[in-house]
Parts: sequence; C-alpha cells; structure tokens
Amino acid sequence: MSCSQKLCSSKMVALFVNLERGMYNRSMALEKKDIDHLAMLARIEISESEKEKVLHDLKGILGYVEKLRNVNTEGVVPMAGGSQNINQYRSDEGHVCVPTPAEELRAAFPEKEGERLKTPAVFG
Amino acid sequence: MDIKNFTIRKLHEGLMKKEFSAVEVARTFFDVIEKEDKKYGAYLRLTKDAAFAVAEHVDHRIADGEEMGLLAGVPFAMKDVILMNGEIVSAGSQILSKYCASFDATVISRLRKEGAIPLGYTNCDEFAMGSSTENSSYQLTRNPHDLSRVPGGSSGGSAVAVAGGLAAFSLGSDTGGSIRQPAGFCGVVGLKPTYGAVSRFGLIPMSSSLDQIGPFANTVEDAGIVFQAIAGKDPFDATSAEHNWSNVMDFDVACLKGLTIGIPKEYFGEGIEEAVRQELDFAREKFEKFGLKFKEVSLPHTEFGVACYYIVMPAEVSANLARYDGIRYSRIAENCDQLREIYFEQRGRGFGKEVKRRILLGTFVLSHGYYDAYYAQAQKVRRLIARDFEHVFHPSSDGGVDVLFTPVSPTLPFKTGEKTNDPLQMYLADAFTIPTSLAGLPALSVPVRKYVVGSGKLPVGFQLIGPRFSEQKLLSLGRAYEDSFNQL
Repeated sequence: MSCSQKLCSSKMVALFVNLERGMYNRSMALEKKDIDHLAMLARIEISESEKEKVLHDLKGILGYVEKLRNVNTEGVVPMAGGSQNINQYRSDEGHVCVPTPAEELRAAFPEKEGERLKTPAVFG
Repeated sequence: MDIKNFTIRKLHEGLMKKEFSAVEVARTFFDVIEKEDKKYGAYLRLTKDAAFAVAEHVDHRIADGEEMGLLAGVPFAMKDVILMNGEIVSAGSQILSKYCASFDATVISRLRKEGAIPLGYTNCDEFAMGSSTENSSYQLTRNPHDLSRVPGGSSGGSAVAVAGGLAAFSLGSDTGGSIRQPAGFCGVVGLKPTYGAVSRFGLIPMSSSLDQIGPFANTVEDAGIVFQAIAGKDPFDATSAEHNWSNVMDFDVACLKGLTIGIPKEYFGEGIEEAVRQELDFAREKFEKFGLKFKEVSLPHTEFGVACYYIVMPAEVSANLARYDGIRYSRIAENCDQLREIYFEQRGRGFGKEVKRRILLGTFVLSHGYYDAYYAQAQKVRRLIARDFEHVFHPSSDGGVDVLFTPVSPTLPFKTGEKTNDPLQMYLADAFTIPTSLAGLPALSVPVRKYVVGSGKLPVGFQLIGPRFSEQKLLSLGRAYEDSFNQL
C-alpha cells in the first residue's frame, strides 16, 4: 500500500466513522458478560480467547452505528423490506411443489432411522 | 478451440455453425480451469457430470437442427450459495461442508432450460458475508490483475472466474455490493438487479430484504443476456415481481441522447482514492462525448448507509442463520447427546468469525430494550435513504435525473490481509454500493477500460444506478459506453 493510499483510507475512515468524542459512550457499556448472554441467546459456543476480540469488534461497530441517532426520523414510516409487492396470493387449488422425491429430502437430513428423521430428545 | 476474446454471442455463433461442439466447449473450459485456477483459487468444486450431461444434450439438439437460444452450450460458474440438485453447496462455510442440495434454485432451472453448461461452484465469503472473499472457510481467491490483492467480495470467485477466462459468465449474489464491488475490482461487468427482479428461491439467504442474484460477464451485452434469462416472476418467491422483461435488451443509442446523468456529490468526497477519481473522470468525459448531460445532485443520507446496513443486515442474518442447528442440513458436532449441546457445538465450530460477529450483533440489536434504539431507527433511516433516490429520479424535483453515475468502490483493490483485522474498515469498502441495496434499486458495475490481465493496471469500475426496473436503460448506457471503445 502506497503512502497516498494509506492517507486516503485513513481519511475515508475519518469521513465515515466520524469518531466524535462521546459517540462510544453508550456501547462502551457492553461487557464480557453481555457477550456470554448474546452467545447463549444465539446458541453459539464462543471460546474465552474469542470473547475479547468479539467484545472489541462489537463495541467498535456499535460505536459507529450510534451516528444514526443524530438523524431526525420524526414521522418517518419504517421501511420493512425491499419488496413493493402487496398480498401475494396463489389460486385456491392444489399445487405440485418442487418435484423432489422424499428420498432426496431424507438424504439431506443428518440422522435417520428407516424412513424416519431422528433428533435427540427435546425434553432431556 | 480458442476461447480468447469470446462473448456469449460468439460462442453461440460458433456452436450453431458447428465450428465446435458444446462438449468441446465444456472440455476446453475445464482444461483452462485445471491449468489456471491453481493461482486464482476461484473454484471450490467442479460439476463435471452435470456439465457434460447438459453439453451432450445441447449437441444432440443442435445436430437435430433445433433453433437454440443464445445461452445453449455456454459455460457458467455459480457462487457457492445457489442450489443445484445433487451438488454440495456450502456457502463457503464448514457448517454446510456436507450439505447436498435436493432441488434446483429457480435461476439454475431457468439456465438448465436454456442449455447453459454449469462448470462448478465458486469461492465466496462465508454465507456471503464479506468484501474480499477472505472470509471463506476453504481457500483464498486472488485478483487476476495482481495476485497479492483481493478480488473483492463476497462473490469474489464468480468475478475471478469471468476475469480469468474460466467461465463465459457467472452468477453471484449481491446484498450490499457483493456483485458490483468484486466486478469493479476484477475489471468485469456486474449487475445487481432491482429487488424482486430475479427469484431467490434456492439461494442460501443472508439478508432477505436485500439479497439479489445477478450476473457477472465480460461485456454489458452478455450480462443483459443472462439477466433476461433468469429474471421474472416465480411462484416460489413471493418477493419476485411481475414485470415484463421482453424489451430489456432493446438497444438504441439515439434514445440515450438527452438523458441526464446525476452526479451525487456525496459519492465524490475526499474519501476517494486519486486513481479511482481519475478513472471516473475519464469515463464521464466519454459519456459527455455522446451527448449526455451531467448534473450534480445530492443524496443527503448517504453517510448513514453503512451504519443503517450494519443494523438491518445482521438482524436478518441472526434470524436467517438460526436454521443451521445441526438437526437440519448437516451435522459436524460430534459426541453430543443433548439437543442443546448439538446447537452450541455445531454453531460454535461450524461458523467462522465474521458470521458469529454478525449473528451476535443482530441478536443484540433485536434484543429487548435495544430494538427501538437500533433496529426501528435503522428502518426509518432506510426509508430516508430510499426517499433520497426517489427524489432525484422524480421528473419534477430539482433532481430530475434519469440515472446516477458513481464510483463502485472508494479504493483500488486492496492487499490480501490488509483489512482482515478491522471489520469496520472492511465494511466501509461497500459505502457506495450499500445505499442502492437498501433502496432496492438496480445498479450496473462497468469497468472504466478494458483491463487486460497481465497488463499490471488495476481495474476501476463505475456504477450506474437507476429507478426500480430501469435495467434496460442501465444496460443500454453500459453498452453504448463499451461500444465507444470498439469504434476507436
């Protein structure tokens, strides 16, 4: 990377990140125990060594997105999706879905017994 | 057969004149892949059986004197997130390393009907999350124009397959720039269609309100041919739009005269690398020569695009990726008796760093007490970003432009490893492609020049953005631009 490129990308960060004093305040409150809680909610095992880095990265990202709070959104209707379709109906009759034989679908399942799909007991 | 400087039309003509067969085309491309792809790392898996089955079928039909479409016998590559029946499709992730698709994505069944030859699956960032293809859990992919640099991402392998001459065209997916940015970095054409133009049935989802499938190609015409084949309403995707695409390839240079091209000032600020700015100036001068007017406009919420995206997208990611629980799709967790243990181990071992980061971020912004502050606010800002575009495209506004002209990326392709430790830096690489995605608009990434692999010059792309369903206009402008080189 040349010097001018370095300069440009640091300028870019300054431009977009807008690291103003105080912007990190709220997300600075995020702690390691919050990462434990989020990992539990998301059902993801995270090693001790990963946690520090995750905490650091999330703080950085949440600090950056704080800038959205400065946007005046009074009276703005949230945009829930990209589609402009309204009410997609199908005709009220039988449809053949993708003609995938049951055998192929079962083959994609990790554990099975005969023609049945197998999972560990839900209430252990 | 010689496959240098081929286009879809040239391949088609050669096949119809029986200069070569579809089987020969497939064989030639597999030979080139065998020889060249060791240095690029574009492909993860080849689909040779499927390729030769299609090629033989096409040859029989040609021998029978059937009139064939432009894509019959034309070889293509697919990003590792698009399902093809009977093939491993892993989304660049270990969690799906053993997953075998049990049906065809709609785009694949449409290309099958056309007789296009599937060569194989290309590398991508895990679950399409990244801007450099470095987040793949399998391999690095290198930029053919400089092997020490990234090809962009997340559809990096698909961009390299075309740039390196390892496929006639390829399919990628674009959520925040994942077709346009690698197309720009690799010197090929990339189209992110209007949200809803192309069915996502059979696309491994990342962020469902943003994902779109689109083509990479050597020329704008080729990208248009592929787009026309895959676009259209699909009953299996409720977000796909009812729209008549029969005229999308109409091309009349005379109609382009008098169009007004908007230059959004926010895209030309001080964050742009000088080399990118110079190439963009060159492209703009070319456009001016054939009678297009340019006008400065403003999209005032541009600076909030990346922040808005990094709330909306992870929220959808955290929901979409909940399905990879080790019970469905495939299992890599071992020696677990309890359901809960399977979940934690499967997802802990199966997902890479960036995927975990985004799932946790999404879980956070959707969690109790934070939802309104983050997610609801981001959705409102998303509306404001979309309105900015509506305003400049509206005929009676002070904007009143037909199409916008912008850089694809603020920088040249960066070095491998340069941004891997700083996720935020990586995210900012998509600052100019994200707003269009949030607004659901179509955008075409076109190389400023014909960048030849081996010339040492790093590619720069420009982006043309239009209102919803304006693909015909974008493709026409892109083709006129390309033609101006051929006329020299």
